[in-house]
Amino acid sequence: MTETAFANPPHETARTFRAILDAFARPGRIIPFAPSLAPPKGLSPGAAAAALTLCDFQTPIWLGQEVRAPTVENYLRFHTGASITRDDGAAAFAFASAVHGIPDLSKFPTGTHEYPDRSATLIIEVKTLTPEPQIELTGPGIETVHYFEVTPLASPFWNQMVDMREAFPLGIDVLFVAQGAIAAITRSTRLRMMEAA
Amino acid sequence: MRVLALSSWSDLKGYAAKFAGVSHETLRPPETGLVMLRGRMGGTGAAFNAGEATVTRCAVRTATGHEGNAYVMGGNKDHARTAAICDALLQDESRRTDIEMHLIRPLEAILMERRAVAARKAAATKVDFFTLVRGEDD
Amino acid sequence: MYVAVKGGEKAIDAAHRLLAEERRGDPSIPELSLEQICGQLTLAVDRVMNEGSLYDRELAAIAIRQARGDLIEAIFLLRAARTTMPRFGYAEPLETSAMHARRRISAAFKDIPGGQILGPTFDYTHRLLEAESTSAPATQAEVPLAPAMPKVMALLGAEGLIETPPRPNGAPGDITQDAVSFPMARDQRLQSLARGDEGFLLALAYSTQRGYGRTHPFAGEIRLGEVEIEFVPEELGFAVVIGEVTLTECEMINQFMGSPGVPPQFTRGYGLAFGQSERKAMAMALVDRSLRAGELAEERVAPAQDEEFVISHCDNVQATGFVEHLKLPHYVDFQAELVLLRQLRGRAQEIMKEAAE
Repeated sequence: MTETAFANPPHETARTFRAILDAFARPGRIIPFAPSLAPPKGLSPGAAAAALTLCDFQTPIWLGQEVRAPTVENYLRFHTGASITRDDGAAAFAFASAVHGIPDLSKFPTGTHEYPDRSATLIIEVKTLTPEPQIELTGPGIETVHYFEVTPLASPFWNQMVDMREAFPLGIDVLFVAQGAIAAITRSTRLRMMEAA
Repeated sequence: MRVLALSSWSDLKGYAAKFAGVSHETLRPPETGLVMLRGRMGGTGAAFNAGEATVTRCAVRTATGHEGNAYVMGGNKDHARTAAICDALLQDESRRTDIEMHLIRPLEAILMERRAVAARKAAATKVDFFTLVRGEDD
Repeated sequence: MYVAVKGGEKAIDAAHRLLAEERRGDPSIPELSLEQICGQLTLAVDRVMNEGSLYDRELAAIAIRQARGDLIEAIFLLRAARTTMPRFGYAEPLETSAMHARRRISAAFKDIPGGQILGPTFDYTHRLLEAESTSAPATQAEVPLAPAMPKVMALLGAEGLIETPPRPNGAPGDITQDAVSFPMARDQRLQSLARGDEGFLLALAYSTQRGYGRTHPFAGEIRLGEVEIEFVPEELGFAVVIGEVTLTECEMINQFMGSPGVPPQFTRGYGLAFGQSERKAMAMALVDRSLRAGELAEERVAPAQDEEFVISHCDNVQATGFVEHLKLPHYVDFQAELVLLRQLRGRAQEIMKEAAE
């Protein structure tokens, strides 16, 4: 049984693209985003909207354990035309959920020096995105400094992201999807864990 | 699906009229995009990209839960939707024979006749070589 | 100093309205319908589809009407239209051996299985203008042509007298997706030539016949007809027929003297074009072969053998963009040149004066 996707793809994908663009242009800023979609269980409406907007037959999709289900795979294949890969090293887009665990970032492609864009974009479902001082962000797209908190992501995840900054311009870009909101960090964003108060 | 795609819209519209009215839900609204066509070097060798073609696709689910899918060259959205509905009906065992008999076969016959006419016209342009008597008279 | 100037909006608007009126012509005469363009200017539609690199007769007809019959402008419109559409994927390589041929000739062999089928050709017409077009119905033979005619090249291939193109697996390069760099592989070259300007390729092909990179060509086989297209949608996982296209295929046979390790044998050039586009397919086949000079260890001496030259200049959308952009304001650039020239002349006059004193 195939679930339907956007009722009006040109408009809804354009709106989604705009929201994602805003999120990546202003890393750490929380962008309200509540698409009306009813994807199969395992995939949130926000993550589904991102897939429908960004993925096509040229972008292999990798799914984390929590997201991996035949219904989700069929939905993505049907609506995006993308192939589903089990090899995280071959992923153009990776969908994971942080609600039950922290994705391991080490095997996703980070691009090459000739083509840094041949890297993975991660779409991670999280519980909440709040402008609390958990992570300090600076860098392109941030006027001075910005703070945000992503629950339940904790230091192991952020440490990986901080380490990856060393390889810039190689790296991965991450879109966080919570209920009703998205936020992004790019490979150019400098991150610092704030000390627990 | 082959016959549904190859038939002209005017032929399909006529024959599908009494089937395509079935109530259905749109899984994927008709959308026109591109498919890159590929040839082979020397007709049989390595593939190369020859240029794109427009294709319109559509997917539907009928009230009986049968899903139909269509990819049809060109930009005709009605053609794609009708083909998807007919494809869904073909998945329905109880309707399959009816559709085969009263839609697919007549459309296929039209296609074959059109091809046959083209092939007869072409055959009329076949060269019949004959050799004139040459050389010295005895 | 750099002065940005704005304006011209009203003039541009009025120019567009004037263009629209002139395009339409005498309003008392009915506008050309798309069906008329598709049905009666078929070969113009074919050319626009080829160089627009998009098989869609209706869109090509719209483009021709909008461009007032300027085919390069129509090609530009079609290329622009394609950029607005999503790509669903790649079709399965089409099988020209399964073509429902309507024309099929060989200039190399008289007696070929299936025979010489002239089809709807301008060849053998008297090229006399007919003020009144005739519309006599075509003759129909009793027995239709066989659906799939054998390929002429297979006759030579059986004896090993002609090269057999290798058939590797793996996806070919796609110049619409990946940046082009030289030297190119033959698959990318063929993709470029397929969308290349017919006039440019025709001139290059002609040059090879006149001795600029001679390849001693024979038209081994030319066929025209319909081929079904198969596509594998990701969600289905199996191939489905999505329609058919009209294609012209040209196989050139070229002499080859052999090179170290390769005995003398015939080589091949390949042309494939949308619709009935015989001149294009033939020119493409000749230029394909001449561009294989490097691969066949032939001396590269002529323009038609120079890959970078041919490929970089065969796209008429690129070419017309760069040539026609000279119409756009270059006021600042030209001012700079003027200033420079005045300085140089001033200096030159000083030197002459000094010399005279």
